[in-house]
Amino acid sequence: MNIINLKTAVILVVLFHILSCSKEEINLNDLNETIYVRHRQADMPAYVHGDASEKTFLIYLHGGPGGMGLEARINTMITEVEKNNAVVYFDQRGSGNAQGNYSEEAVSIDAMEEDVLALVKVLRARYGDDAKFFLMGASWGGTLGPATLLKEQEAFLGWIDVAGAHSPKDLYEEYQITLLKTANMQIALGNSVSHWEGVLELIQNVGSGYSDEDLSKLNGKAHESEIILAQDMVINEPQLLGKNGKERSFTERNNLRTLIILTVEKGLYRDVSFTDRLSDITIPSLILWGKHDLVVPTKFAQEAFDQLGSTHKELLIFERTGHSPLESEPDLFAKKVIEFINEYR
Amino acid sequence: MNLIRSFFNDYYFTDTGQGIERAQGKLNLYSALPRTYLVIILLLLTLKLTAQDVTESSSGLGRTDFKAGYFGNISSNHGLQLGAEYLWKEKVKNKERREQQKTIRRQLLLNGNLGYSTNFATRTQNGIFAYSGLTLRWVNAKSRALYVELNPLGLYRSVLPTTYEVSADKVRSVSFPGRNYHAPSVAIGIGQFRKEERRSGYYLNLQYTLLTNYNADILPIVSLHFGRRFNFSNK
Repeated sequence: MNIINLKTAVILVVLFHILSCSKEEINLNDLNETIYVRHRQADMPAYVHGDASEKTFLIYLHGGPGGMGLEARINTMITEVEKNNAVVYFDQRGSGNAQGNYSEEAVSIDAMEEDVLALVKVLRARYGDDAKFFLMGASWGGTLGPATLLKEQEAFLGWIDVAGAHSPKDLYEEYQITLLKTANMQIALGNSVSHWEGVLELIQNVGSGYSDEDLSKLNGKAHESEIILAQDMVINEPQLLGKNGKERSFTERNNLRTLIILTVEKGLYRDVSFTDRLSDITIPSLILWGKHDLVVPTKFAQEAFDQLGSTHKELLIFERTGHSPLESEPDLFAKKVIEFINEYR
Repeated sequence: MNLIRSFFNDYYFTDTGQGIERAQGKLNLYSALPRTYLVIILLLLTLKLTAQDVTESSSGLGRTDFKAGYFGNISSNHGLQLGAEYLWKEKVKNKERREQQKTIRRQLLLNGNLGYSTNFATRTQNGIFAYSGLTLRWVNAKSRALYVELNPLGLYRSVLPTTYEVSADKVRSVSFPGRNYHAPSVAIGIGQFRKEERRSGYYLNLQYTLLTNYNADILPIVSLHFGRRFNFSNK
């Protein structure tokens, strides 16, 4: 009998907790909530923060694949952008704290772009049909962003491309060109010579034809090299300050399966490119890129600018930045984002 | 699965002839049934045998320890857990060393646990764990215990915040949003077994749980469990 009473008490406590969680009051002036989007057997969290009094939402698509939306809730995104408009940090299918019960076939760019459009529908249902949306994609988010826009760009007022990989299949070749050029330049300057000699050695050893293994090595070396560039003060030291000025710290619960399915089994870096279709994207676009980006080299910045079909488009190169303008030059980043959103909302 | 089988070789076959027959039946079924169903059948069999065994010893309450404690990964995910362990089988070995007699108890227990955990900050890892299985416990003369737990019957129910489901152009709010995952686990641990005159002891377990099918794959979770155990029988 005691056991039954004890279990009943535990169940009641849990139920009270659940019910108290679901009771909601939406304060549009200062949104701070997590809502889940259930779509095609996936449950994906959207962390909504900031001032939505004008019903303007910036949807952030994270990098990876396999990153998490809150990776961008740092620096001036919190202190500046969220005060201008609400920001929706979205964990994509199989990433961050997204969960679900689906087959491997359900992991695809097609499913993920539909997830983003499902998110828009959910935000409209929650905050009103008059809600307005801008889409921002960083790195891999810059692959998913164009894919989404090519399906339904009418849902968005503008596109912000932050070092986005609109053509992952061209990265393999471009890594070899950019890393070679940067290594030679840094060796000539006498900066971290042994590191850059290692980069040259890697470039000599990778095959001319694509391989997943070599792509992984080059990508890893590009990330590592940006740390060296920061140490040698070629770029600004990346800052990742969360709320209250403390170092960002978020937890995720996930596995690497989505990353493996997309990159290896579905040939993300081998086959996927949206370059030829960028001209079909006609909404206002802002392209933000680091001059020293080794992960998605600046060649793609100019390519995006040239190929996008938008009448209103702007390209800004951050002089002291690698792959993440938000981390290396957060003030300028926020300024450009806010200007763009305010101009087109 | 092999672990289960060796486990039963140690204990199950020391039971009645009926038990041996059932165990042999289990082995014949091994190749014919999926693993999950086999484990469930095995546990149902053990439950029946448990009922037969109770008459041999003290009351059910006397053989049952209750547990309450923390579980989580210490850093970001934290939970509270309640559980019970029923002493099903026990072998006592007396050894003489340096002219002193030492008693080692080898025990087989049935356990059931229920817990709730959260990551607080974003409430994206809220969920209820419920699992049941077998615990093998060695208790030395100083009442210190070593545990190995095998919990094939595990369920994780995620508890999500506000959730909207999108199907085609329709959006609807989901009531009591969450998702069920099969969550078998294994654990090893240490602790202190309650002495005759004491009503409590402690336990410290390291548990490895697999959530499946989680995002088209399996999600491993490592968690630390610690707390107190109680026995409410009158000594």
